[in-house]
Amino acid sequence: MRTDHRHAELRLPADPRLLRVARVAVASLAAELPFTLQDIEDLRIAVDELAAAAIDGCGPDSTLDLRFEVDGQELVVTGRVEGAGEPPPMHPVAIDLLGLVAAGHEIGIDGDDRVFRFTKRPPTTGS
Amino acid sequence: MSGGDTVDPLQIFRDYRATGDRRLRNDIVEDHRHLADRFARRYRSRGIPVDDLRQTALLAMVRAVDRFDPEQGVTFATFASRTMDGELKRTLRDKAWAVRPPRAAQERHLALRKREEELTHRLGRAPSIAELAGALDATVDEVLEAVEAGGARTAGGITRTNDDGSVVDADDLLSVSDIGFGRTDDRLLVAQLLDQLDERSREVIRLRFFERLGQDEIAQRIGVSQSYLSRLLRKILVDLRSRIGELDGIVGDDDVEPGDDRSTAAP
Repeated sequence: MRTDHRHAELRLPADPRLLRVARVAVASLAAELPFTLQDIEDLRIAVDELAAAAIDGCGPDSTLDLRFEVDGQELVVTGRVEGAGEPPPMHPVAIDLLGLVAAGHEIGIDGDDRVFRFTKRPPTTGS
Repeated sequence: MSGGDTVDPLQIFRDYRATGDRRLRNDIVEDHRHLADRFARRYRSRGIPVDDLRQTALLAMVRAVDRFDPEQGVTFATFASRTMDGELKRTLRDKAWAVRPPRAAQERHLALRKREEELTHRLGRAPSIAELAGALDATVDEVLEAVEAGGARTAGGITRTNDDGSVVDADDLLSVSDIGFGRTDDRLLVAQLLDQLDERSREVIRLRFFERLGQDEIAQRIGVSQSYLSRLLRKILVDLRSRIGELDGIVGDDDVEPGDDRSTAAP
């Protein structure tokens, strides 16, 4: 895992058991921004669901590349599985969960790669 | 799930634990979604929209699947029910804390949650992880570990937003009730005043100042829109104030703006 002030990159085997690493990574990075515990809970679920969808049906030789980018006050999470193609239809529960915690997410294809993107902003503080 | 063959209902949990396959987990959640709906309905009409309760229950069930150990001899339905019930009660308690004296805070036993609530109260918003770490004299990593271990959630907001967008702080709400209803003489006078109100107005006052419900929930209970309830409440309070000037303290500025004497409610 490489990190600098602006982003972190994580490369994992396409194994759902290892998505815990992605959850910990996103929680750690989010802690650098003024997110609440609830926001971070939601982020962990969002990254878990999107990453799980991205590797769905992929063989053990596939690799999930995750990028967490701090852009000003927002956290942008992108994922890519090279050569994985179109993602299978999502499970209804996954759709519900993402609807709850990852409004505005995108998942699809870029060439032959399966990709997703999600942006989370901290709640406005003060007023 | 159906089938005549002998199928071990716990096998899917074992498979999920072995593979981490989210589709298996989602199948389990889908098969038990009716439980989430049932628990959400159980706690409806307590100030939180049932859809929000359903979402809370759904997320709790997802966590329950992750934590369920099929070898413990407890059915998943039982385990998930306990998890959802606890999560919903906690959500409701947090909500209640937003408008009631913070007695529940005394019961908090997890340092993280306790400190989080204290900070939420003090800051008027949920604290960031860095703020929590500072308050706990802990590292950010330690706070995150606590999150990971306990699945802690934030308390509900301690402010309430009125129809006009104005924000009412919990302390203001509490001080209104203390000043207004704390003295015996005043209570007697208030009782006399309330007797002069029609049944619905009396009920609105009871729900607002004795039950300390938010305007949204009161509106829901008596079957009117929130904006109408807001106007109705102001009209009742202005009416009460005009009847007895000495009791200004009972009517907080949260509900009646100065010079708002001409507030009217639709018939």
